Amino acid sequence: MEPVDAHTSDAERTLRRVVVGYRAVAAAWLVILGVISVAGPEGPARPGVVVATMVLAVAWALVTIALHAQSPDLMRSWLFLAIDTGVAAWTLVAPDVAGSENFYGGYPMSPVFLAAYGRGMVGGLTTAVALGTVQLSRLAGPADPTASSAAVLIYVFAGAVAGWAVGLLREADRTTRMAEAALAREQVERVRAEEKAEMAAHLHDSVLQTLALIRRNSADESEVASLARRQERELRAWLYGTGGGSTRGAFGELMRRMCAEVEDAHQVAVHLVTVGDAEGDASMEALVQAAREAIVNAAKHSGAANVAVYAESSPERVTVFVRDRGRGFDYGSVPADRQGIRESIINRLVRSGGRATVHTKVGEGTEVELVLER
Amino acid sequence: MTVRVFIVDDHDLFRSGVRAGLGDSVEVVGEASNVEAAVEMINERIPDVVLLDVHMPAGGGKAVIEGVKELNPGVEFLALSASDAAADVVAIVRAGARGYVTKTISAEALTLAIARVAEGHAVFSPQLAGFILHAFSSIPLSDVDPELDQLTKREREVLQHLARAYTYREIAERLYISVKTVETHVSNVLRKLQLSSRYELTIWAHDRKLI
Repeated sequence: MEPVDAHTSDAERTLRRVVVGYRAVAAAWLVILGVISVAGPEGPARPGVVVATMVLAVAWALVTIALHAQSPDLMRSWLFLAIDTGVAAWTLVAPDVAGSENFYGGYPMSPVFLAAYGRGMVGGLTTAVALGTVQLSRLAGPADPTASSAAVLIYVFAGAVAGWAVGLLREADRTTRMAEAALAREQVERVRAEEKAEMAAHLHDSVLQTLALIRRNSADESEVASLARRQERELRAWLYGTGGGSTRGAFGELMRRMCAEVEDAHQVAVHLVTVGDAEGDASMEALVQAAREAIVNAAKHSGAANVAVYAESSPERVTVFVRDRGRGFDYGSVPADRQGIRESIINRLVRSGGRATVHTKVGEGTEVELVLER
Repeated sequence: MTVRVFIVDDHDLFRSGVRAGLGDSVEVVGEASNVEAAVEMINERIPDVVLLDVHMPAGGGKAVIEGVKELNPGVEFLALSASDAAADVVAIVRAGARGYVTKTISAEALTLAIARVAEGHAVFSPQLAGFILHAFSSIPLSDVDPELDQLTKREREVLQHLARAYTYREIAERLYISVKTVETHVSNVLRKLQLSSRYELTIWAHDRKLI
């Protein structure tokens, strides 16, 4: 099963937005109450404390918003939640220090919600109990016992409910996403199964046809070999996408097609190995044609049953080696008017800016080296 | 000393064909047609070289290597496959096979390959040599472990000749080095292929598992 990233899902983002949104509202609420308290007829003994608390609440709300955007994971850490609770605890005791009315408004609920979001019910309750304890400790001072006790109950209740709701939402979200993922997987599997069935049908049909042809031509050895080679090539192309080589692309594809054609036309097995690949422009065409001539030459004259072809493309040049272990020949004794090799292989490549070299000796096979600088 | 060989392949025809082709050049100490029997018999008879089919039910050749290497690290594996697909080949070599050849190999060449593997050297088919060149040449020069992720100039030359279907002896003559040196270069390349953590090399094994 693919992992479901809980931190980046839509539901998770929405939850976080609600919690952070409440933080902004709560900070604004606190500022309004603070201004009223400072500006009121019976102003606080120490208005500076009220103003400082207002600044602190706004600054911390901005920090929360920044974290929400930049590194939401941090918002779930116990350290962040502890500092967050500490700020709220200060807003609770600030009125006593300032000698003012309570001006924290709904702010203390904000860390309870945030902890419930970050750490579920445990987080919500822990923060609620911590703030409740601070609230109760104020009873030693001028605070109203009924209001404070009610506030404690509300914190604990809110922490529990928020934690529970967050858990429910997450569970529902997870279930939905798992169902979606399962559905997507099923779809992919069905498409794949259909492709497989189609491919199997095609392969079976083509193999049966080849077998029928082989039976009909069983007396003709070279025809049978050619049929077998063609079928093998087709199977490989279906099964592995290429002739078993390590690249696919313009030049490699041209080489592969050319080798297949020569195999069919000249009753010889051509083993192609390609390394790297290049764009198939006009000079590449010339290189492929020159290689074709070299392979055909080997098939016609060397007497070897196999021809090895190696094509390597690098950013600097493309090199093709065509090699047989056949009878070889004395290159120097080929008369100048015999145009085969010179015209069709060497000159063709030279006109495209390349070069060709023939390495051969009687009895030791032949290797034609074709190079095209890029 | 005759090399003791064990053959693992789920095609009966192929096993008997290989056995007949090898003749008296090696001592065939047993055959198996599935992973379980192969692991059990190889651990019991401890051959020098195991000829190992890449594709078999229940984990393929890779499972056999894993089942044997732990108990008998001295047993060497030469992988054979008809598929020639780079993904399979690299997976089996990285699992611990000393080499890889295609099933179209001649009996003579197979005998030579077995002897080479028995001596602890590596054997690459032209196709595998080509793939290794390809994989290592597509490596961006930054961010490589020079010990493992790069081939030396000589190693590249040797691999290029292998990809051009030259034999070790021919390569030695052409590069003016001894056959032993060629063997050392190829073994070093094998080590790099097995140990490099190159993404390209590992990903190939998973890339084409559609079928």
